[in-house]
Amino acid sequence: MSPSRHAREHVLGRHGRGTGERPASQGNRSVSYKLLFSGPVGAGKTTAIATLSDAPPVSTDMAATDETAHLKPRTTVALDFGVMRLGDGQALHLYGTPGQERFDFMWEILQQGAIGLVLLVANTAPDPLGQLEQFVVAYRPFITATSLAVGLTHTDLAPNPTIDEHVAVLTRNGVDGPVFTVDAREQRDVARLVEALLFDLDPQLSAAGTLPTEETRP
Amino acid sequence: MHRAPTADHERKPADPVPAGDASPATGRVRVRVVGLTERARAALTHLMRSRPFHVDLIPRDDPGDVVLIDLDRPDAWQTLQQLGPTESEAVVGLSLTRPTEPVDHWIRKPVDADELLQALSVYTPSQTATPVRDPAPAPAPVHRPQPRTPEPRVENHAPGTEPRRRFDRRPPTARAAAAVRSSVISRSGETPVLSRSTHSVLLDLATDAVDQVTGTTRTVAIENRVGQIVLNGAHQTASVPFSDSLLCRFARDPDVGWRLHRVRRRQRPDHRQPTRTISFEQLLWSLGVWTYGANPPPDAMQVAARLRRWPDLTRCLALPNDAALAAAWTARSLTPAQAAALLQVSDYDARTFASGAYAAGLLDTSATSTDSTVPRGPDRRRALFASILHRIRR
Repeated sequence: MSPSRHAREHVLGRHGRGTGERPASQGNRSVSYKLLFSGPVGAGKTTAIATLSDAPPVSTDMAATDETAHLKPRTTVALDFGVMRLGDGQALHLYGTPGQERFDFMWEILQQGAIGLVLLVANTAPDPLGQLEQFVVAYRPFITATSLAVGLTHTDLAPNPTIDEHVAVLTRNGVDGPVFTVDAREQRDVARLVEALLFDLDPQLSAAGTLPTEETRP
Repeated sequence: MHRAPTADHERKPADPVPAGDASPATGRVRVRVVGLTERARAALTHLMRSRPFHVDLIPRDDPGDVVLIDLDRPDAWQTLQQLGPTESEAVVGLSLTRPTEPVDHWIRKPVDADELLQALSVYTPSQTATPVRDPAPAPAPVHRPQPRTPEPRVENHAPGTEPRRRFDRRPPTARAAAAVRSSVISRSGETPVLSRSTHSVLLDLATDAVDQVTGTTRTVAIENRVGQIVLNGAHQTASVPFSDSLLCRFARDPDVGWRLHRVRRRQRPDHRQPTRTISFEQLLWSLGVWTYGANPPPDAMQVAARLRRWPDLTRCLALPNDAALAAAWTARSLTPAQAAALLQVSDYDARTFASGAYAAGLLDTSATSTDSTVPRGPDRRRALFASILHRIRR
């Protein structure tokens, strides 16, 4: 099965829609789960998925023809798809949503059965706090049922708003979760965000819960 | 050059101690400092306080035991010749590159405090011959080029006992600053007036913190919103726009943005330097870990507290089990012992985490009575989560 078809069938719920678990085929006990990446245009969702994916990600990029063209030449119009193979026939599928609000129907489709939401927000956007609030409101039922991790990107270009200001937006909307500074190109940063999401879901997950970061240890 | 490489590194006897000096001559080294700023002198003085020997920084025109000179100054060698160090004075030079002419002891910049102290201790009269009180000129000193063998590091544990864990091997500047640390980061927000030497030590701490954050180099420049801090190397004499009120405000507002430049040896043609912004939270977190280690202050040790929010774990100094501890600590009020028991992690890890969180101002002790969040229970997908963790740590 081609990766795009694989993704499409999973998204459309042909197998186990709403659970995030999909027996791949009879006789094959592989099970897949879903992790959702969302956020405004230009936040780094496609890059983050590519950073974590074991296989080249499938992207539905098209030439940007709207105001997005000011930010980047191409943009995701349906979804991004990557996969992390976990062993024992398990896989974690990484889905990225389109950033534009007019594609918000994809947000609802893609969140079905996901274990959690990684929300990326570019601090260089004109109103990053407003964008964060928009996405938190859109996903609030899903976040309440699962978990949320927020990654602030492009903070090297725009240190403000601060993490505390972003956290205040979450609190005002009745949700919480880790908010980290992230470089979507850095595997360690994105992995750390996913790690935090998992521990937010289950703090007692593991006693060995830190990524190896020898270069930063004293 | 004024001084030829010699055959022995032994120190000549010191100059006579002035009669008015009540302090014993042994264990005291008099250092003529040339080319260092007042700030550097103050930092040096502060570092010497806890040492087993005393260092007197004396005017540059007075004879002493050691001439400490910044060789990167354009007029360094001319100044040295003008000073005309006595035969009994050793010349300790600081520079980025090996000096073109020999000195008694060369220390490469950025200067490691321990190395400098070791060098000065060699010239402490008590460690050499008995001081000569005969004012007659001494014979020519016999010196050898000193091999730059690594000096043994100061150990924190008593002989015969197990060394404490890794965070006790803190940089010497961090250990030296431990005494002033608590007064700087005041939870009440009332920061006492800081001495100049305290500022200097804080800058050393900042350098160490940046070193750990970048993990590669100690030659860095830090720029904050109100000016520029340039540490180490040839820029050691640059001004530092710290003030008490500013530092206090930074301590209370952990999200002040800092821009950090890694200074490369070879500049790019367009003079652009890769930058990485760090927050003051990162700095305070590192300072807390180094200063308190696994022994956080009573506020963080005995009182159940809750994290106001997750630390910025992608940027803060990574600690064992930090993600699990952060998740548990944001969900409920805990003491370090309770967190360790809950997560079945070591008490050491929980206490060290509490030190970082305390210094970064993330611990909220007032949340104890308003703890309303129901912590999540074990997730049925724990095996899956463990697989994902295993995969992303690979």
